[in-house]
Amino acid sequence: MSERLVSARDLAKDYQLDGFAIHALRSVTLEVHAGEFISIMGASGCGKSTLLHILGAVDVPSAGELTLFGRNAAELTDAERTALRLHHLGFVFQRFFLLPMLTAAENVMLPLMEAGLARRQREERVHEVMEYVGLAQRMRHKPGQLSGGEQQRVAIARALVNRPQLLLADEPTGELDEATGEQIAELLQRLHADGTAIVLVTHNPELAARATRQLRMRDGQIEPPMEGAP
Amino acid sequence: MRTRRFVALAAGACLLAGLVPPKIAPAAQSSATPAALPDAVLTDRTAARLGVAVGDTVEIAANAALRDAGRFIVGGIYRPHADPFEVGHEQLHVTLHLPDLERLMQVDDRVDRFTAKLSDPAAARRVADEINALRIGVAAYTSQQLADANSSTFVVISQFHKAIGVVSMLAGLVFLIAIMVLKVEEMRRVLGVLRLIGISRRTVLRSVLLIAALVSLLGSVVGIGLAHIAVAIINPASQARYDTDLIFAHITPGIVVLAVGLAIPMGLLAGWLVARRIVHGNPLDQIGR
Ligand SMILES: Nc1ncnc2c1ncn2[C@@H]1O[C@H](COP(=O)(O)OP(=O)(O)OP(=O)(O)O)[C@@H](O)[C@H]1O
Ligand SMILES: [Mg+2]
Repeated sequence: MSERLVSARDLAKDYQLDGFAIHALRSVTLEVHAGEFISIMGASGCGKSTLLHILGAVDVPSAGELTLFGRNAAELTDAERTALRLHHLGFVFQRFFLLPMLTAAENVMLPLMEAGLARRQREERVHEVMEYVGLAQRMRHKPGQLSGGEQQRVAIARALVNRPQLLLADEPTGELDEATGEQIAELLQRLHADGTAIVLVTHNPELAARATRQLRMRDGQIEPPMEGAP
Repeated sequence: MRTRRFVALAAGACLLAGLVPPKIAPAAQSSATPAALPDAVLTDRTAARLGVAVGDTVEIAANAALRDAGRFIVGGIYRPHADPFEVGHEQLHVTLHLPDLERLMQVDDRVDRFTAKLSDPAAARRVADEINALRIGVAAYTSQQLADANSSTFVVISQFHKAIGVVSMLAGLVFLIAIMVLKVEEMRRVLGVLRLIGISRRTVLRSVLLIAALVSLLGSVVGIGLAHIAVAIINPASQARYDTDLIFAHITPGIVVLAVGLAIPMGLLAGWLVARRIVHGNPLDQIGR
């Protein structure tokens, strides 16, 4: 069995809103192994994003056990969770979240600066990863000068630049047309082929079908695999 | 006792008011022959006000009713040193020979003040001290001492100005913080994204403070530039308005240091107040999910 990156048992997440509780996650048990490609589908509001944020050390569960890259998540300080996000995890969102005042290359370089790489190394890495996503020619362009698909590829480049073991993608094609979404899907598949583990949340069944393990969520829980599923 | 060299100033004794201010008027007609009249020297403003030139005749009296007026010929017109106390006051100055003045005032043997010019100005203090030590009923002051005594009002005014400046900068700070708080939605997003991709609180805070410092430095430079432009407008305009050589606005290094020294800490404070709140929140809330 390959290395276990993330291990979650009985995760729950409650939000208190005006005195009554919303159970965003009820009981989620999940393991993510190195090199795996997992897709998660499910109705809106079933807790997909919430789960992704917890797996990505952005949010903390209300109950349950969570091991992230060999560390007990409950014992991590905020600074340690930040460092996990920097070095082990990459995030891709539906809405890209690039910084509009920086160029594509500068956006991608941010995590490298925080990681303390020397300038030469940073430039090499940025070039390499921008080439990987097919945007080596657009390094100096600002997000506003790029199409949605291109912006998402820049966001993926930024998520990849520190060579994370796990990429978390929350509806990365949600704002893109079909053809552009396809480019992103191919990019994710290539990334998986090159050994990065991916957890992909999507509403697109075709995209979900490309994963090696397909999960469905409902009402804050992962549904048991359907009859006849692999 | 050592010899001291005094050189009496200009046209005999100078009238430095102290008595009833004399009343001057241009003579209606110059019936007497000009050569027979004593001469008087006017300031340029007095001459302009009276509309007289060198060679014209004026009547001067020690009372407003022009009783017992004397006739004088304008022997010269000069521009006095600018005196901040006189800005905006319409004062007419005339300089007479002492006997003429005494006759006009109907007093004898009376001089309130006179100015002595030393051939060695550096000795002023010592000479004044020696005169005072003689105890002959005369008090001697150096011009520096007079200037210091007279400028105390202006020191108070300039302190007052400084206080106004500081208060308006503090008011500006409130305004600045208000703007930054309004702008905070934009900042929230950016800082939230940074936090999400693994940039530490420390780095984010440090970057915000660095930007705040640079912005306030830039603001100070722009402010000082604007101040220089304002000075370049205010001085000539006021000098023309009050017909004086006085400098009305002046940017000293002290003022620059005060402005920059206030602006940068204030910018840092505003940046820190805003950034600290954001950085300690949940990045997911900040990016608006
Ligand atoms: N910060 C929050 N405060 C209160 N409730 C929240 C918060 N975040 C999420 N929720 C609730 O938790 C539940 C799960 O939300 P989540 O965003 O995980 O859904 P999702 O499956 O990602 O939906 P979608 O497909 O629409 O993105 C929802 O009912 C949502 O309203
Ligand atoms: Mg979601």
